[in-house]
Amino acid sequence: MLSSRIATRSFASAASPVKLTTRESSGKLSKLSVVINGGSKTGKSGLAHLLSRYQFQRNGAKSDLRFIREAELLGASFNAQVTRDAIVLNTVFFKQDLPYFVESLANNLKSGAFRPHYFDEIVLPTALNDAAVANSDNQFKALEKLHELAFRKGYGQPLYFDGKAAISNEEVVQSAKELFTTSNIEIVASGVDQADLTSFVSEFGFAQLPAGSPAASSQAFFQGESRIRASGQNVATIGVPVKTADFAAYEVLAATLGSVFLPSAVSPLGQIQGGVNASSQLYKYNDAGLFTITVSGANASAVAAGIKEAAKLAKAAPASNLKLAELAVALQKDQTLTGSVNVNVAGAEAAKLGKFSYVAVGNTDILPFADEL
Amino acid sequence: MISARTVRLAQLPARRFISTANAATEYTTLSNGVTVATETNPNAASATVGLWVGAGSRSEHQYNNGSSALLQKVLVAANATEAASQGVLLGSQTTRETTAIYAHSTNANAATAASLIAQIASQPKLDDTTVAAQRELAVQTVEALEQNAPFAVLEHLHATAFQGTPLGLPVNGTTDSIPNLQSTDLEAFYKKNYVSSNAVIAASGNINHAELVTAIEKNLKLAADAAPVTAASAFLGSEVRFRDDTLPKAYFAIAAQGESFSSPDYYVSKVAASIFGDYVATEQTSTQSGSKLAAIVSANHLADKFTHFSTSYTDNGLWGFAAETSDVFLIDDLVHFTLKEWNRLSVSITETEVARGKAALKARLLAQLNSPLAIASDIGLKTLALGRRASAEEIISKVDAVTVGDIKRWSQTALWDKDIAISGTGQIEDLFDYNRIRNDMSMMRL
Repeated sequence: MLSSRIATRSFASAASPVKLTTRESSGKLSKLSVVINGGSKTGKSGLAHLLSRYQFQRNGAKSDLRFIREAELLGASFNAQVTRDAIVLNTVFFKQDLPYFVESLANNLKSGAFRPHYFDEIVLPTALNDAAVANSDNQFKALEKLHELAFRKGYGQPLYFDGKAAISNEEVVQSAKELFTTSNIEIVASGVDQADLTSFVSEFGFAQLPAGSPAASSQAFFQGESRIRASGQNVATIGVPVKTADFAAYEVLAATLGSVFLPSAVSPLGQIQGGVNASSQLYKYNDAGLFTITVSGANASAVAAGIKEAAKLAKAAPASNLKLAELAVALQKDQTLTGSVNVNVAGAEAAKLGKFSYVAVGNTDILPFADEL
Repeated sequence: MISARTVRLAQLPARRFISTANAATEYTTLSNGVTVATETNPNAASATVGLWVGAGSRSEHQYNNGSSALLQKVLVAANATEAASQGVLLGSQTTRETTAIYAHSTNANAATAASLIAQIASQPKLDDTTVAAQRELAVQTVEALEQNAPFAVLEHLHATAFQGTPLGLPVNGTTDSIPNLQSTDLEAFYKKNYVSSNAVIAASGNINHAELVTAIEKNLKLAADAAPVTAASAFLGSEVRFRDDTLPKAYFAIAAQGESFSSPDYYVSKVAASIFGDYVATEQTSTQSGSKLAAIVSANHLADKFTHFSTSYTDNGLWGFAAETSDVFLIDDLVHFTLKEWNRLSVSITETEVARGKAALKARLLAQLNSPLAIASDIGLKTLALGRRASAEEIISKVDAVTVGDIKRWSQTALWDKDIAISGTGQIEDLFDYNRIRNDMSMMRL
C-alpha cells in the first residue's frame, strides 16, 4: 500500500505493432501520447520543431478545422511539443473517447497532408513565435548555450527553429517519412485499459506505418565558456554533461545543493544572499544528461558574487542528503508522464563537480569569467 | 448539427471500457473537532499533507493586511531546516478565504510529514528575527506582483468590486501594511483563526488514512473555539484604472457579480464562463475554435489573450473576463463584441455552444486535479467552504444537468443590464468610460 513504486507496464507484442507503455491512473480522464524518437538532436537544427508544429494539421481523413471542432465537443485537449529527444503528441480526453483519439493520432502519422501553404501560413509563423517567446528569457538563452558548449552536436543543437537557415517544406516531409515508422514511435498512455488500447492501436492504422528502424544516437561531451550581452535579467550558469549511469549521483548532488524542485527547502544554494535565485537541476535525456547550477537576478554584481559562491559550494562537496533526493525524484515523477527518465537514488553518493562549462548572459562587464570561479 | 454524440457514433459501436472511478474522499473527525480529509491515489509517487484554515486576507483589516500570508511564510521558514533533515519539503498557500501550510514527502514518509505539520501548527514559532526577515521578503514579493500586470488587474478588480468590505483586500497585503506587521500581530491572527472548527487537515498521495489520523491526533493541539465570523461582502459596480503608457500592452478585466460556492447556480455560471473560455491569438485551437467570440476576435486581431472566469467565494463571486491586447486602439471593439456575446447568453445561446462549454468545463475541472498538492488543496478549500467535497461523478452529473434554459435564466438575472466592475492598467486610453461599457450589458431588443 505504501510502496512508492509506480505501476507501469511496457510491452510490444504481435498484437501491437508499436511499443506501448501504460501507466495506471484513477479518474475519468485518459492521457494518450505518441513519442516520436527524434527531437531537436536529430537532423538539421530546427527541423524537428517545424515538424512538431505540423502535427494535428490536415490529413487524409480530416481537416484541421474539423479535428479542432470535434475535439472541442468531446472536451478534449491536444498539443505537440518538441523536446531534445523526441516530438511528443499529447492528447487528454474522457475515457470513452479512446478509439477516436487512437484513430486521430494514427491518421495524423500516416496521412499528413503537408500542404505548402500550411507550411508558410501556420507552421513557420507559429514556430518562429515559439522561438521568439522562449529567447526573450535570458535563462532559456543561457541553457541553450550551455547545451551547445557541453554537447556541440545532438543535444547541443537549438531546441527551436530560429529562421537563421532556411528549411523547406520538402525537407520536413522527408523527415516525417523517416521518423514516422513503427519501430521509431512509442505510445504512452495513462488511465486507459491495456487490452482496449492494444486492439485499437492495431485496428486504427498504426500497423500501416512503415517498419523502419529506430534512429541510432550517441553523444560526445565537450567543455567551453560563452558570454552573451543582453538586457534584462542577469544569468550565470555552470553545467556538466552527465552519463546516464551517473544520473542518480547527480540527482543527489542537485538535491543536496538546492534542487529547483525543492524551492523552500533550506539548502546551501538557497542561502546565497543578495536577492538572487540560485538552484541546481539535472536535465535527463535518453543518451546523456546535463547537470546545471544557475544563479539569476536583476543585480549583476549580486549574480557575480552568487555564482562564485555557488561554484565554491559545489566544489566543497557537502554531505549527501538522500532523503531530499528521494523526494525530488518523486516530485518529478508526479509532474511528468512522458519523456521522464526514471532514476533510483537509493544508496547513491553525491557526484563530485569536476570541470564544467560556463555561460554568462546579461551585463557581461560585471559577470565573472569561468577561470574566476 | 454536429454534436459530441455524432462524433462518438462515427466510431465503432460501443465497447467495454474498464473505467476506474476517481477515488472517494475519506473523512475522520478527530476528538478535538478537526476534520481529516484524504484521497488515496495508489499511482502517486509523492504525498502532500497540509493544514487548511478558513481564514485568509478576508479575515484581516487594512492595518494588518498581509498577516495571513506572512504568518504562513514565517511558519515555513522557521521549520524548513528541521523538515529538510527529515526529507520533507514545506510550502504555504494563501487565498482570500483560506491559508494553508503543507508538506510534500515521499509516500513512505507521509506520516512523518503529517506529524510535522501538526506540530508546526500547534506551537507556532514566531520569533522576531524570522518575522523581520520574512517581512522584508514579503514586501519584495508584493512589489514584484504589482509589476505583473495580469495579476495586478485581477487584484484591483477585487479591490473595486468588493470595496469597503474585507473581501476586497489584497491577498498578500500591501507595501504600506506589511512593514508594520509585528510578531504580536501574527500571534493575534493565529489565536483568533487557528481554532479546531476552522481547520481541516487535507492529504493526497499513496497514503494510509488511518496512519495519518493517528499521527495527527497525537500531535495537533488547536484551541476548541467556534470559527470567527467574517464580515459580509458586497458587490459594487465601479471601476479602477492605472493607465501606464510605458507598458507594452493594455490589460483589463470586466466582471459582474457572480455566484457563491453554495449557490444553486454555481455550475450554471461556470458553464456560462466556459462557453467563451480562453483565447490565445497564437494558438490555432483558439483561432479555429467554434466560439463566435473567438472568431470575431481572431478575424479582427482584437486581443492577444483573454480568459473568462466564474470565481466563487463563500458568500459572493465574480463572473467576467480578463484580457490583454497589443492592438490598444481596438480595445473598445474588443469590449463591445465581448459584451454583445454575453448578451446572447440571455437571448440566443445555442445547444451546441452550451454543449461545448459543458465538455470543456468538465475536462478542466477534472484535469486540474493533476498533482497531490492540487488534490489536497481542492479537498481543503471545498471542505472548509461547504463541509464536503463533490466527487468526480457529482461534478460531471451537475454539469451535465445544465440546460440552455438554465443558462438563459441565470444570465437574464445575473448579467442582463447588471452593474459591472472594471479594472485596467497599461495603455488603456481606449478603455472608454464606465457608462459606455455598462450600456453594453443589455441591448435594445429581445
